[in-house]
Amino acid sequence: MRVRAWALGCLCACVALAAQAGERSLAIYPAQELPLRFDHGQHLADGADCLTCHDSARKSTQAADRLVPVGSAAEHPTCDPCHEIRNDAATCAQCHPGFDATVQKAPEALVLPRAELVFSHRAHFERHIACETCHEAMAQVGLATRMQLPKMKACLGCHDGTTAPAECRTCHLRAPTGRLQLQFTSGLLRPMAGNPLGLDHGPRFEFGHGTRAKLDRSTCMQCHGESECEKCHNGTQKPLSVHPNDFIALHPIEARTGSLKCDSCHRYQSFCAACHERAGIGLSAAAFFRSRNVRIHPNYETWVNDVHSPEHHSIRASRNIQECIGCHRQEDCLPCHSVNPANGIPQRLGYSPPGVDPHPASFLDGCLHMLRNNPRPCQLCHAAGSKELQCVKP
Amino acid sequence: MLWTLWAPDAWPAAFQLDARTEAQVYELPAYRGTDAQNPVLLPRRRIVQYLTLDGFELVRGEDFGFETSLRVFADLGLPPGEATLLDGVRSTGMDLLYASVRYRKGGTEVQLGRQMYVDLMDYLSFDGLRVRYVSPWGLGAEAYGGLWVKGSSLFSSSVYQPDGTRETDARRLALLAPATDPSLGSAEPLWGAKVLLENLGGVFASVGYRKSWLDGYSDFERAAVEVKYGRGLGLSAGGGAEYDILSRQASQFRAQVRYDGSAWAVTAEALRVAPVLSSQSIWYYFANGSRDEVHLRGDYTPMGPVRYYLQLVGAQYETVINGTDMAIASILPSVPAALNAGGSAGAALHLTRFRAAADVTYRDGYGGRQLWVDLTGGTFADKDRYTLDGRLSLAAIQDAQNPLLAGTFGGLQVWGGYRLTPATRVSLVFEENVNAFAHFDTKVFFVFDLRAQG
Repeated sequence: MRVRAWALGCLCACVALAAQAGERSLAIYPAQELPLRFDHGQHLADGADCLTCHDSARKSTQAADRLVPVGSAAEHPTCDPCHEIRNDAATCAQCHPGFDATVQKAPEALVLPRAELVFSHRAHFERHIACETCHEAMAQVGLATRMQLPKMKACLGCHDGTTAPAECRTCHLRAPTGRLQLQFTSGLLRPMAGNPLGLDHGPRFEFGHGTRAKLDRSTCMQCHGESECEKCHNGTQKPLSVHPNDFIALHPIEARTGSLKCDSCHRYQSFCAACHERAGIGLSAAAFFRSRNVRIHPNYETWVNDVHSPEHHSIRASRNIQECIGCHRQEDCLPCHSVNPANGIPQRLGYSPPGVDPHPASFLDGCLHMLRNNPRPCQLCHAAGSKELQCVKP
Repeated sequence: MLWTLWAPDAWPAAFQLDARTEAQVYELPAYRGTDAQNPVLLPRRRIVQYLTLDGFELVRGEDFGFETSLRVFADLGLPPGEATLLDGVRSTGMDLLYASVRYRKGGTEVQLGRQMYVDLMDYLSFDGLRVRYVSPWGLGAEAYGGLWVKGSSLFSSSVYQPDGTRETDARRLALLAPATDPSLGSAEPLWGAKVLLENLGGVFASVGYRKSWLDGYSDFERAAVEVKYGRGLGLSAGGGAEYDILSRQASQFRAQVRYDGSAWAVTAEALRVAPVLSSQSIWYYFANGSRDEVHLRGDYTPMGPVRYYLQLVGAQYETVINGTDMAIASILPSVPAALNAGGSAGAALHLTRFRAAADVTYRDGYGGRQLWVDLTGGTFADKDRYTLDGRLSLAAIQDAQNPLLAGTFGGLQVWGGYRLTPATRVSLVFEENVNAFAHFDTKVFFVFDLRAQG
């Protein structure tokens, strides 16, 4: 059992948690501590080959296997054949900087966490894949670090689906959901710039991934289960990583422009309108809430009565009806727009003719089709059997 | 499934249990019988518990698993009597967010249960079955069907409610109110299908259809085409178009072109969107104006711990008033489309023990003049035992349509976390907001996480 810093990850989701382009993912290759002095280039130039020191790689079948030469204070079996190792400070310090065997029991230990991958050196060795295919340009390298571990682009040179399997799970660890494991003690696995599959999740990716998620669901689902969607697309609690501070005061600004972000978590009629009614803003609220519709709109004359006004509500409703339906229920429209005598209100308000027609251009061309498919909304404004529901142009 | 988890001779399956408790305490300004200068404060005391259980490889060696998530919540600041007066609001409740069994073998995938579905057409959830098959040659098909998950159905959330209508008209029906709709709470069957083309020279495509019914009449009927091209780094593109069969008009279009280099990327995106509304609602017939948006974004990631981005955004709100064959059209003024434009710039820093990000967004036009600044940072100590994060948000708003919201809004959030055990973490968050509108506003959040794997 392990706990991951997923809570922390939620708060800082806008921060690129993986290492940057050209570097290695900290999630896949955790940070190392290598208090050593070593020169691969010099050893290769002097005639050593990779297996001289890393012979155990031939039989290694797991990424967790430790493949660096092992030794002790008494003996260094891998190094001994070439180096004359004496147990004195000068000799030890040649490879272990600062270590003095006369005052310390052992040099500072290497910290070499396992790579968070599924990997078998043996399988690659048996296919005669040369070490430098993955560990490039070692002749120019002094002390090998994480930077000499292969990036995914190198793997995909062979793992193309033909020469070798290209499924993510071939190399990546899987979580108990069956999808890729993303959270590691060393960080969050997140595609970075230069990702060879073109999946870079840059800063604020969370705020703009909509189109990619809609068009490429199957790729997303390789890594992200429904629980990850639900963390943000939730609609119940204020998501701390998504909405900025003071968002309850500021949300009208985003809502007025019909931000797609609102739609992805909240439904206007079942989330926004209800809360507004409770707050005394919604026009159709129960009398208990004593709503007053004086805060939001320009003055009543230009907003409702003066159809010549550029501030008339029809213009705003036309541009973005979601701005309206966050507060209003459809019965709010009926008093002025319905011609159904059962509603009775237009006549009461004295409109002539009753019911201000809000239908868009060319509505009659297709209204019969819509009527046949679903007459219920038509009948809210038009009485069943009325002449308007014959959908015939006057 | 639970038997499989605890049976002593269970398969060597993998299981994961996540439990998350969130409590939020703050106050909401309200205007019940009062005015903007004298708001009344309503208490919000919400507590939500998520319980997620996943299992995988239930049969040895087979890609067979399940995913479930349950949400239980209570709003202790909302009296139950008050909640009954609000459509779609509950003071306590339980939602089954998803619960499905999934099996994959070769090109076949089957999923049964409550599941989410995301594509160009919508983001929805349904109780039912989805079957997908893709042949080795890349041709395939997908079909799904079941009951749309709506706020009025059993153990479900309004997040997936078809919009434009309330969850149910039960309250108003009881009041004998005019213009009620008894069908709003009815079960809503839906089905959909897609013909698929997968990875033919880097091209993925689908043609899809979806229809739903409510009490015998069509609620949604839409078709969509989706296309994607990508072969790794370099040029990739995707796009889709949706057609509303009921209203017989194109309803949505999206296209994105992207170039990925090793250290930089450029993305261009164009959208034409119209609200996805239930045809059960009169809004559906009057949502005339679509919105066009363009986004242009550049990302630059040099070697080192910092990366940068710059994004430009423009939106045009079409103004479509009644046509000439309608009564009011001749007297309404001619109003051009409204524009909104702006951009964002930001940088993210990631060091081994510290990370930070800064984002600045500016937009002007329809919706007002807006400047948003968001700064975040975080660090940890003692191998992640202690975490500390902060977020500073500033917004300067000027909107002629809403003068009450003019001014500068500042907010600071501090999040401290402590790992209690290897499987549990507790976090406490304070948020303090300062503005001329609400003066000082304090919020407190509490989060408890548990994750167990076995």
